[in-house]
Amino acid sequence: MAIEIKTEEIRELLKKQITDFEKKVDVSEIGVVTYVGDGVAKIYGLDNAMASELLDFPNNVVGMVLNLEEDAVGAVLFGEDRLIKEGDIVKRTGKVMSCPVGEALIGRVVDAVGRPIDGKGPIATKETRPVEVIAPGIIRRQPVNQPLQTGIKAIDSMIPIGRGQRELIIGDRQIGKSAILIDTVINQKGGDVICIYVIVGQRRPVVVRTVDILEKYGAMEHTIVVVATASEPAPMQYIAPYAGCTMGEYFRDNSKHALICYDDLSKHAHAYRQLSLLLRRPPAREAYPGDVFYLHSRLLERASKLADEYGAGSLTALPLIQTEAGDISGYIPTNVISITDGQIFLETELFYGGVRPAVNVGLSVSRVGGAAQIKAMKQIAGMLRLDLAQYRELAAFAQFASDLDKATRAQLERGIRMVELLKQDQYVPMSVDDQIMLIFAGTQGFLDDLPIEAIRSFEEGFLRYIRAEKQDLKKELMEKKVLDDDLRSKISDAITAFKKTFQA
Amino acid sequence: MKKVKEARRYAKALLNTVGIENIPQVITELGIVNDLIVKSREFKSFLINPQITPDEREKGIKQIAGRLRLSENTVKFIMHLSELGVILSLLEIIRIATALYLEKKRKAKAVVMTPIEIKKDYEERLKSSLKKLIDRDVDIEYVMDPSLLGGVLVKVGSTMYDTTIKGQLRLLKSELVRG
Repeated sequence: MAIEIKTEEIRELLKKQITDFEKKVDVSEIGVVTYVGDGVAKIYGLDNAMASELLDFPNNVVGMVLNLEEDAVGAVLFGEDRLIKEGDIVKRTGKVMSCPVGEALIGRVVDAVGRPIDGKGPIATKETRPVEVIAPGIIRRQPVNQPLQTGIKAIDSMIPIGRGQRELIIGDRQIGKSAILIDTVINQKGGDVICIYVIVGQRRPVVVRTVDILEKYGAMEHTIVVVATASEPAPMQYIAPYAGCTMGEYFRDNSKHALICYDDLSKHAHAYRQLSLLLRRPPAREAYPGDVFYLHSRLLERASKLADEYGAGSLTALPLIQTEAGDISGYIPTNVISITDGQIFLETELFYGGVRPAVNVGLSVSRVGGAAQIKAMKQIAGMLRLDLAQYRELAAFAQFASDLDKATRAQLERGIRMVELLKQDQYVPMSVDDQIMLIFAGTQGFLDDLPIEAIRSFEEGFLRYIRAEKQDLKKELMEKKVLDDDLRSKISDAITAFKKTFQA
Repeated sequence: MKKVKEARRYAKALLNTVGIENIPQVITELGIVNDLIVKSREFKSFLINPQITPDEREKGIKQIAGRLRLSENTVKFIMHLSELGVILSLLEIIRIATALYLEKKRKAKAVVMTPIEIKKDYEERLKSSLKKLIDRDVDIEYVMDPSLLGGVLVKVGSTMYDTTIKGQLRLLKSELVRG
């Protein structure tokens, strides 16, 4: 049914609004711009302005108070600073920065203040919420107890992430950090998790590519993309993660599950450093201001798993930090490592050595995710971790030894196969039951007699075989969620049966 | 930040030495000098150039003061400021001194903007109602701005009272946009 738009009706409505318009004195508190440039302004006056209050500049530019000084305030501008000049009058609004929230945002690409930038028309949201909110207190929370499946074997098995957790992804440039985030978002397809992907300080082509990939794999249907590119003013880049977080909190507070990816927080820190220096706040280490720790802690603290009385919703955060030459002891990396509940460390050597995703299993941890892992995965992950740890130790040692005893060689062979098994292509996240069966095959030694080159094709063939002929086994595994003796033998039988056809 | 503090110090000193009665005169004169500094680059460099000896500067300032008929207090203050090299903060000092003076006298300065010239009796009414509103004596500066279309716009300190048609239209516009 087409909606008929009657000009008559609209005219009547407008007329009514205009006649009802009450003539009142507009009393406002004002200040005068004394300095403007580089996205910041200094304003004389505005005696009663509050920190982080919104200001009304001429030409529809808005600003936010960041500095309160003796008789001036420093503000950042969310808009063109060229439209503002010295002597302009600035008004207080009495409001704090807020952004639209709601279901209508899903599937859309918006800027840092929630305006659509994907050319798909206006977004019909009813509600707005403040961008800066204090994180929920301890009464409202409960420990993490549900898994968030990333669909990546190496992560779901050994560095499990729970709903409400904050897991840092850290590594050098161009070694697949964003790929992990994108894979995780794709893996939520058809599930109950809504994703918010915040892009800060990236180039525009990167944004286009990311949105294209998400669309191609059908992941935009459950995703909101919040964008503040490198070409946007620093204040926009500064506020974007908070706006994204507010959008995610809406789902969390409505008993749903949300995942927020911050790509990336080093750029966010850069933007904040720029603002702070321009506002003449004293620089500290690496010229970052003194409150750069609080900048990230207050953002990441908002990720949480709510208690059952509060709807049991969750907001999981996956922040991303870029390091220089693998140095994780930099200022921002150490800060964020100490804030989050664990980190996934990606390594350049592994990446170029063909291990992709290039997760360094030794340095990566998940401090709370273990509690959320399903039992069956926990049972096999222990073995996997042990195998890999022994392999790492021996591999370093074996480089110097010419002949090794049989047990050592077996362990090395096993390790090589496990590393091979954990390799995974991009954009093909794997369901948790598939992961369990594959890793079971590896840890139980079913792959030991296969040549290393055959592991990948074994994996593909085996999964196809299970899907075609052993659907009931998959179902049973997901129902029981525990590997009992019966299930173990059934999986072993399936693997042996497939191996016969595979080798033949 | 440091500049403001410094300026506050000099403004206070000026108020204390000159005496409260002479302040309005001194402030107007300082305003004239400041205009001259802004307009003439030679005068500005004459005041801050370290190559010019204090004696020469004193002579020069006195000559100009004679021409502009500045009071003794003003001349002394200008010479003192240029000697210390803070003459460039003069504008800030004037601003703070004015604010301090108004505070002491329990007076306030208001800017009234109207589209047309307003009548004397209206001025009186405006003055008394403003006095009631902010509990201060008000010095009013009148500015004409035809773009306001109608009504008055009053700025007192950091508060603005807007009853102009331009302002009303702006409010109406935002209301209509909001729907």
